[in-house]
Amino acid sequence: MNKRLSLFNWTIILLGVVFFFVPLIVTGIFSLWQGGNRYGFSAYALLLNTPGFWASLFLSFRLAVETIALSFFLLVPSMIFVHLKAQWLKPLFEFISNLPFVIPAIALIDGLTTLYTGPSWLISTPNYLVIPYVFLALPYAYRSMDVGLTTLDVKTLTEAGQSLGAGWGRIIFWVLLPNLKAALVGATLLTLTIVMGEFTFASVLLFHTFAVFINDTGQNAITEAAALSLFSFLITWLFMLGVLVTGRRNPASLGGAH
Amino acid sequence: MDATPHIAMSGVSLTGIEKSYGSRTVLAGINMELAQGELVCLLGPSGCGKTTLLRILAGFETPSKGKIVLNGVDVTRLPPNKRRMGMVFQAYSLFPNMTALQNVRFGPRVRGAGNAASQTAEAERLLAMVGLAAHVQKFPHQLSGGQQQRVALARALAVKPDILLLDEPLSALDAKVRTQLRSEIRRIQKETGITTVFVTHDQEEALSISDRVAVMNEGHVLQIAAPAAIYREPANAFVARFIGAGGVLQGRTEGQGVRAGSVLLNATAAGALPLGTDVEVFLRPEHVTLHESEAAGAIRARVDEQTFFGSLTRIKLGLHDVPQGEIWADIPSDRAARYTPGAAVWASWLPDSPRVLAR
Repeated sequence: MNKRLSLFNWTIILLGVVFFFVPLIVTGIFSLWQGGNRYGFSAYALLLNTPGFWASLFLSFRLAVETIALSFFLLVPSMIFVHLKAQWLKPLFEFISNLPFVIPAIALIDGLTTLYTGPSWLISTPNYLVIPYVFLALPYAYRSMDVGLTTLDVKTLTEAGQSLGAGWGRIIFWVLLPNLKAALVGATLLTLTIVMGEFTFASVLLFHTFAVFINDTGQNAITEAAALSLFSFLITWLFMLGVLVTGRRNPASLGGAH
Repeated sequence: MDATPHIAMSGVSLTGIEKSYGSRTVLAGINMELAQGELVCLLGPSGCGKTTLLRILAGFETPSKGKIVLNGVDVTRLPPNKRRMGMVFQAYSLFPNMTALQNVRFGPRVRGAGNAASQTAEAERLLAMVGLAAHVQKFPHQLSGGQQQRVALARALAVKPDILLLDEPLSALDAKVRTQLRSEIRRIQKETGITTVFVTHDQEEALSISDRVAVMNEGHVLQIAAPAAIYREPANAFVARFIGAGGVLQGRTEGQGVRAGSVLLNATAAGALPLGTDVEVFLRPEHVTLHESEAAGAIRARVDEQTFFGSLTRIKLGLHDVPQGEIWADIPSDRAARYTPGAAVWASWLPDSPRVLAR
């Protein structure tokens, strides 16, 4: 029975591997194709020298960093407040955090361009994208931090800090944030992954991010587009690996061996 | 560094403390004075308001009415981080990202008391005092529950508080560790001479550790007295029922006794009440003597059940001539075999043993 189950499991795993990896392997082989029977890394070499590659990559990375900073600035204090003082607001937060899943990107853009009409340093620069990106990353950042805060006994730790003479600043920076490290790293990497791969907002709003660069390149040079796709996958995987590694570390535990 | 800690001696005064959440009153008119160096237990059933009172003392809750004076200073509206109070929580509250030493150093660090070297030396001394000298570099998850609460105690003492607040600090521990740690808390409290409020729902814990016990119910302090006085002279029926075990019989005063059904129960205390007063008679199990045959002053009873407590066995007795009457008797376990369930016995007590309270 066990052997049959094991065989079944292996079959499922094998199918999964084939499903996920065959397209990647084929894409990889295609990215190395130089015409006829010739294979090499010319598409990759060409890619690195293509105008706009590094600029778009750095732009997406910068936007991701700004998105993370703004998300944490908004989320950390408000979520600590909700966990400590206003648990009744939690369903509302849950609802808001899930809105990006149900509102189509194009509707978001329409709303965004209607709502935000100034100042010029914001709306006429790629920084404008940070606003929808915060919204887009909200479900993931919220979920990650919510798990961290729920695992931690925020109320008791806060009161312990207060009883020892600590104000809010020290409680947040000395006690809560260090114990939310795994949750914050998880939120950071998920946000990075989302922003690095985001295409719709950037394309419609005419900003040249990395995802837009991949799309544009794919329309002119197909082997370079394949190489870019693999490169993009690699970045995403690295971030996801980071999420897995930090997630596997035990979250701060209040219990002990009794 | 001194061998003994310098913790400010102080007294605490609570006047007319009330706390309401909407229409629900949690605390009603609490008045209490705590002398310097005294350990007072707040004892009562769940929901009686004892933890709310402690949290008001700590500053985590604000009273709806009333005043708290600590060391001559009104601290009623002072935020918790401005009060000099050390607190040990029921839940493990050590900061998980810090070692035991760093946890104990936290308070002096945020208060800017001394330099890093003196803070570390003081933290090491306090950890040694709670028996954890060998564990200073361990993180909370590497310590047992009992060890974590010792660190929490050392951490609370590190801020040299005017008052130490203990919110059921032993309730998450197993029985053996709990007994051991409560003795250590008492030893340390006496050594440091710090005024302490200890919240518990465990009467054995309260009676064994306190200078005084405040018995609470439904937001009121019903009695505050030394443990022996609470046990021997409960002020009312609730305290009598809540503290210790015992039988409760209802009747009417009749001279130096209480008429219950067809039986006149010996109770000298009944003489202090007017004739014919409806009363309850409280009898502790250790005051009841069993006889295998009829004896002077004894009443007829029936053994209903036995509970073995090791050296003692508690016997529940049904009374033949008293309606709804049952009492308990504690006897040495080696004599318990003769009192099997269903056996007829006679129970007696000294006339001055029962507590008689008007209903």
